[in-house]
Amino acid sequence: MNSNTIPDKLPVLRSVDIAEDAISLARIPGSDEVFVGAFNGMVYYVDLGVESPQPKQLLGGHASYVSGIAQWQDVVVSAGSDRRLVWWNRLTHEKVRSVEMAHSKWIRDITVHPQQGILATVGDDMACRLWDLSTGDRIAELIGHAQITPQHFRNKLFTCEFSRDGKLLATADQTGHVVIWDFESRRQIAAIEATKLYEWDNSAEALNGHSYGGVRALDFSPDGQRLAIAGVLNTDAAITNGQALLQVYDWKSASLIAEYTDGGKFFYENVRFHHNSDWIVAAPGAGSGNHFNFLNAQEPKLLKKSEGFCTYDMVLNETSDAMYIAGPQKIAKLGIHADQTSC
Amino acid sequence: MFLGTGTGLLLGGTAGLSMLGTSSIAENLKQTQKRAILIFLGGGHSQFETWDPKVGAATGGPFMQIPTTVPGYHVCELMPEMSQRIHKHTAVIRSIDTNNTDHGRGAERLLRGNRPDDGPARFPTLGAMLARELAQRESRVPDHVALYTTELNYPGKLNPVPDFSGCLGSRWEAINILRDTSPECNKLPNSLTDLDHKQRADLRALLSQKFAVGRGHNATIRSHLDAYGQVRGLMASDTLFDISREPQRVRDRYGPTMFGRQALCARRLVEAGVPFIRLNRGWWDSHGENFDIHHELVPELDYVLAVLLDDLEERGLLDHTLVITMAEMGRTPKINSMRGRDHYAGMSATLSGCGIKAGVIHGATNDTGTEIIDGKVSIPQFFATIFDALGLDHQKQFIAGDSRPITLVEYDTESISEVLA
Repeated sequence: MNSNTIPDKLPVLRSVDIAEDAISLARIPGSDEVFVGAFNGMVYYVDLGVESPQPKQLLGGHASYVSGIAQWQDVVVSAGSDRRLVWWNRLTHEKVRSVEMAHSKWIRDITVHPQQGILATVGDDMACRLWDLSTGDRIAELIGHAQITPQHFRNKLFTCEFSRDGKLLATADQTGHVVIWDFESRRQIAAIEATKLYEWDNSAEALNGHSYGGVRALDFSPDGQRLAIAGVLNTDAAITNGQALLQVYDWKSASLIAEYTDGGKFFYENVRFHHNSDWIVAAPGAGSGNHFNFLNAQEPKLLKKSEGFCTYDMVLNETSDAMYIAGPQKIAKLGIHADQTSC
Repeated sequence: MFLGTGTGLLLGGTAGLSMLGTSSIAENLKQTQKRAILIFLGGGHSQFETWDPKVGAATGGPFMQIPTTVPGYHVCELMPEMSQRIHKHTAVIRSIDTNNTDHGRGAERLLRGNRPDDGPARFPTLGAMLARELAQRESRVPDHVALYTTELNYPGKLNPVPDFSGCLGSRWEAINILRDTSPECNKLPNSLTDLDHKQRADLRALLSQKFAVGRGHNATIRSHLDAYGQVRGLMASDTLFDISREPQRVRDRYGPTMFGRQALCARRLVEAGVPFIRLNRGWWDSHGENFDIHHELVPELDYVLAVLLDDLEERGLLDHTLVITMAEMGRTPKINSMRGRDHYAGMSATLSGCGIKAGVIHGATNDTGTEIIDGKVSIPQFFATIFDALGLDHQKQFIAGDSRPITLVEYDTESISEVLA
């Protein structure tokens, strides 16, 4: 896709307002149907393909924030700060099972293996766990992140992501430590220290006695050779003045290929490669940022800065010409092509 | 005169401290002198993520709550240690109205009991007042020490505001220690021997006494003399601040963080008879990522506070030591677009130990934490309660520099009787 076709302002093709902030999202492939998790512990189903979409609230979810949601065939799984995993029937929207204390601390993120019915989850107990989506059984645990930060505080395991071919799984924590796992053998095969995304009192303007930053989002390039890592750089005591930071690594050699910062008081909380690697899109999360940055996937070059809004979770469609987002009191489908217009 | 042979005792360096641990003098000290430790959570901690959780409310945030040893009362899940100790040591006040949401002015109000730092009176802060009220005559240990974990904006700036003795005179100013456990200024420069220093101090004292003749009622001169009169004693007390003299198991118990080490230092100071120590743990100002900041800071507060209370109790000091936790404000019920909480005038605080009825949960907010619905507490009331817990009459008068009588706490203020033993 030529960058000239990316519009200055991403058109809202469809949107739904909800009472709570939407923070996690899974899309049913080939459709406009999404399942969304919210601050209030609720899971919603919305079909953004219909003219007047109405969110449907699924019953019996979580007691706290729904931090992750994923889909595989007829199964939808949600995860929460309440440490719980909940299985849902994608078609009937009924609760199938729940696993209490799936992690001993908050569950931060979940992702589904692209070819197999296996779910990966990460939590603040610093474990990555693999689950059989058919049975709900835990089938493996991957340990590769420190429990404690260098300053003796609890670490946080923020995010996980599979490669497109399912051969790799990456997990990333607050200190910028990223582990790449061989999925088949469950062994760690590489690690990246993206320490620029983690800070502790090392700014002259922010001596505050706590850390900030961390890797908030990951995505493998379609060929599995590169890994995009996103978060924040150089924020202040109140974490309000950070620069969003994106790095792209050759994960095998742990060498930095490209880096991009945006000065605008926000985190990058989502990053996605175009399906053909035409670009990488980094989305503004918490903060005052409202621009989606489309970047050259090979070098630190901004292709387009497109107006949008705060995005807590985001997925692209199969042709990378639309994105589905969860944000503050909003669920939406945005166009990524100049020919598209807002509804 | 709790240290009748005090000069020699403390000038003796490490021997002084070890003797404090075993002598009948030290035992007497434990039984009589009241002391206070203020843990000031600079920047403003969230009441939701500590003492007043609202799980399930839109304002509640992602954390769960856990039961405590006080039936029916829950705290945020980040406080497992204190949840098991509230019935033993602590009263929780969930309903303080700080009446201000600015860091600087809020801290001024909280530290001065809602009185201004202007006009001729120059009201002192809590630390200076308690140091003055609780200090022993002829003490050779510091009366007022403030330890800070953090600075902000530029190196050396104590945040949000340092203690200030105001009209009480510089005798009661704090020794401020930033990001360390011992005062840098307590050491002789390499160019000066101890004898040189002593002779200079004697000469200074001689000249000062001559200068003071006929000026004996001048408050400024008196304050100056008092302050310099402490120097030798303070320098000799350097070992008090040296936490490496604690057994390794004790140091391990307090943990490796700066706040933990400073809390251990505070315990050593209390044990030696220092009447007031402020531990300033910041920076809690969580306009963004409130939950991740509290995820880091609250467990540390919970752990260090619990260890400090246990240690004081085991050493027989807690009955005579009041441990206060507070900030300059609380944080908003509303969660902003940065997953943050902003400044808010409602705050939770705790009082533990000396003079406190343990297990009392005073005041309440509504289901969303947006209103105080029971037992609202003003800053002067909170101050009055602190003084009363320490056995001090909060309406006691002192004479300001301009000769006007001033009460410790605003006139007609009543303490929170419910939390007093």
